[in-house]
Amino acid sequence: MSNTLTEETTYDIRYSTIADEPFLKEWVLVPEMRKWYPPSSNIDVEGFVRNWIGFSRYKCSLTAVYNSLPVGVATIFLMPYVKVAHLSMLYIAVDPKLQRKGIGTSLLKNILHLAKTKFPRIESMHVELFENSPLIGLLEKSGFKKIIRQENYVKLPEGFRAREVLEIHLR
Amino acid sequence: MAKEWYSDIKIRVMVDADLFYLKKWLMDPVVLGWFPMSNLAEVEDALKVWQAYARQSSAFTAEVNGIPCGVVNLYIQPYEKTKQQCLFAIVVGEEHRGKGVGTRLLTYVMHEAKHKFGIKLLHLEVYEGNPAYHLYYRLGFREYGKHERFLKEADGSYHSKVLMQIDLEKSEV
Repeated sequence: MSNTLTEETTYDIRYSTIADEPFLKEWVLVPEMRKWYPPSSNIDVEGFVRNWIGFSRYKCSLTAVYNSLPVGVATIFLMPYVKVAHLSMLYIAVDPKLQRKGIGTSLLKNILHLAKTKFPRIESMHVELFENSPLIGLLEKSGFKKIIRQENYVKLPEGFRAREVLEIHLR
Repeated sequence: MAKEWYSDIKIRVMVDADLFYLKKWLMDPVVLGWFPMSNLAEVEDALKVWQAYARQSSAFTAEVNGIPCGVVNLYIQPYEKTKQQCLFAIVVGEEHRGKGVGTRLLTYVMHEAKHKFGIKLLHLEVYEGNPAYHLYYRLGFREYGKHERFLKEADGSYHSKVLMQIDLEKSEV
């Protein structure tokens, strides 16, 4: 496919590092992206992204790189308590300038593989999204199923939208 | 003999000293069974979260004759776009069960959530089989979803998490 970047020789996937933070922040700050994530103000975005990329220290986060620059991040949020350590939550973002070119699909495939091979305790992965998020199609294509819908959870400029939880079982 | 309800329950903002009671209640194995924590280290971690909400005056304590008997915590969200919804958690001391503490705390927090914090959607998470489900139902909370296999016990068995909510704009609190 001509508009797919992931086949190109300068595309790669590596573990995320703290140094990816400014890139992730730049993407989430774009209004069209930000509306699909919880934070509202610029300061909210900073705290949100810092917490997100902080998980990279556990080697549970992957960064897609194109022409030596980060273009997407997918992170497994590990659960802190023993009784919920079999669960995990996924956060994912792709550079808004390079969406719909296969990066999200490639990150998703790799992060699911990482969870299966390096985190034997994880039995399922779930994602919390706002209704109509462009990520929902991508996740469903990869086997995630909608399990929870909470109406009127978020207030977007166009009105109230539901919160949806999608989940996939890994084992 | 049926338990009698306390006649004089006072509600006030939670203070750090109440954490001592909360820790004692949570460390009761039966009570802890209904929470995601399973040991002292995890409970102490959870207490830090409670403390943070108490210090921003969104956690409340019920007391009888000056003795704390239950606490409730509104997880007020910092984000503008989700600020009209709020999750909460409640714990009533084992020795104070069946005496109206939960009803009083919940009624209070529903009122505070609606009128002080401007919350429309108040919601909670409860593990399947928890008798508190009936209290929530009686006060108008309804199930909107379920997360299967949410808790995994040491013996490998699972419990679902039931999600309940109430629309405070349509409620007369």
